Amino acid sequence: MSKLVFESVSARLGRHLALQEVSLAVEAGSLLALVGPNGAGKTTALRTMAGLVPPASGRVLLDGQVLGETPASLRARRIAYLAQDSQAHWPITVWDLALLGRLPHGQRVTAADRAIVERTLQAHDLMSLKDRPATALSGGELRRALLARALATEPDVLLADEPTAALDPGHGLDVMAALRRAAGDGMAVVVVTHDLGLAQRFADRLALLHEGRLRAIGPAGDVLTADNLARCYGVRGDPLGMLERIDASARC
Amino acid sequence: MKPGLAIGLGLALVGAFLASLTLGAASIAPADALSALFGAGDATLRIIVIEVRLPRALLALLIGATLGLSGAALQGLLRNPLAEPGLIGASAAAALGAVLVFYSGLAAMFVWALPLGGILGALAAVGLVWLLAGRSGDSLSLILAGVAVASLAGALTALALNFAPNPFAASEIMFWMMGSLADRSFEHVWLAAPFMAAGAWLILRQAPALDALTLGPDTARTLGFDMGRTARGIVLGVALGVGAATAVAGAIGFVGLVTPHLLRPLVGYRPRPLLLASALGGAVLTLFADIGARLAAPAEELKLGVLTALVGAPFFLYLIYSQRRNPQ
Repeated sequence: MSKLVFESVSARLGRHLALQEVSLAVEAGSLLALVGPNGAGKTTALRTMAGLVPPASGRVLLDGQVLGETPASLRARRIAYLAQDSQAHWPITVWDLALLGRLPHGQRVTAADRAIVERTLQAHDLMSLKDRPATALSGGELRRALLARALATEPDVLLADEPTAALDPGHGLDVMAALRRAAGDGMAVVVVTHDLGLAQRFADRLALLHEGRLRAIGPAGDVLTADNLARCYGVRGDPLGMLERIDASARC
Repeated sequence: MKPGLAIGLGLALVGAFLASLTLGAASIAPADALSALFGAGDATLRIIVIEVRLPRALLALLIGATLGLSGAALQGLLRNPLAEPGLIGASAAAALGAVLVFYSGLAAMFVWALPLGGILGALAAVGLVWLLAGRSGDSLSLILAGVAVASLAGALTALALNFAPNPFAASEIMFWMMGSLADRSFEHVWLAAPFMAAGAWLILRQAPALDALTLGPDTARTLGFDMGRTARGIVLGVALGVGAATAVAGAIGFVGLVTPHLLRPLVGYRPRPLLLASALGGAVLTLFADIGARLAAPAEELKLGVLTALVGAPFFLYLIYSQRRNPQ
């Protein structure tokens, strides 16, 4: 079973130490939500997990192997990363976009690659859009297509940076449900989010970051305490106004 | 690339190549040109076809393919449809290299001095761009450094023109700025081809990374590609190819800008198949442009670089206009 571990990891963003001595572990088959106010170091933490930012000190381990010493090609097959502001720079089709997820497995597209992409697009209700240019998708459709691209890699670890940002509540629920399913399929999933309601609803555990340090980690009830919310976010009250997805037939 | 497109471009290339052998000041029937090519037929025809037109057609093909490939690769690397080989300063610096060799009198000493000066100029430009842009291969730094180097090379070439010792020198310098395939021989083909082949090899090795770059550099890195290496490979490949092209034919603009743009919709906008399509398309365009340059003003030949600029610049304006109306 795969496991991503941070051992006292610090990381820099330019000269600024954006992450300070963070230790945590993400197990296969589980979903960890990284929460915290703006500038807390969530994105830096996720980019460090993806191998995009080398740790300034400490170690990132994937199944006991130091991530920085893992060959880039192997890392690409095992870890998929969904960037916060990801977009398609050319109007390639949704099909070609999802097919990019197979690049780490070889540069020639095989029948197996096509079957995996087709299965992934079907699972995310994207087959009807497969010939649509990625630049002509709505925000929600693009998010789903980008997620399908990441899932088409069939990674062991899936990292998503604010996958529900700029989505309406319904599409936000859809994307989080898809990430939950990925965890159910055995992936270790890490999601950066500002939506504490979604985090509580879909994550097994929450990691609360504040000023680069890990303030709390555990089930939502233990992490989102009134004290933590006041200290890290500077808010009080119930931040967890919960929404439910309703049937398509009952929508306006 | 889809088989239909490959066949279409291949046929267009064969047609353009044959047309380049047959059309010109002396019109030669295609059958006669072909038999002359294989050593049969009239001796004068053989000399015209094999000694004059064949190297010219081969150079047009090689230079066009290099410019098309380089343009497609740079547009993919910088994720910018307005990028072209001149952007990283390679062509301006190659022209400057050739002009400096001419100006210093080295050109009179040995026959390869001029083209070698061009290639060295292009390599120096890449070195400077690298130094300015840093190792990361960040696209904005590359563009800014390229623009700076191209402007400097252009200014120095103008300076050389300014202080040209005599009208003959000035007109020779102008040649490098305008670009032409007139009076080229097989020596030029053999000199340029190895550098172009090396450049194409460097560029094509980075083809999968260009597809990955569609989703931005971070995603491309997590897909297993080293973006610094990709940028270095492409910039060096473009410098070698375009440097060699400029060294033997002067600066020929707009082929590298226009060709990828014309063919992009036909390859589904994917950067990787665009590379070969654009190489074939660039060769076809340059062959036809060279035929046009020959036929437009037979007595006093129109310079190829002037013709491509005359056709290319309005297209460039159209590109900017349609981009403004239809931002991607």
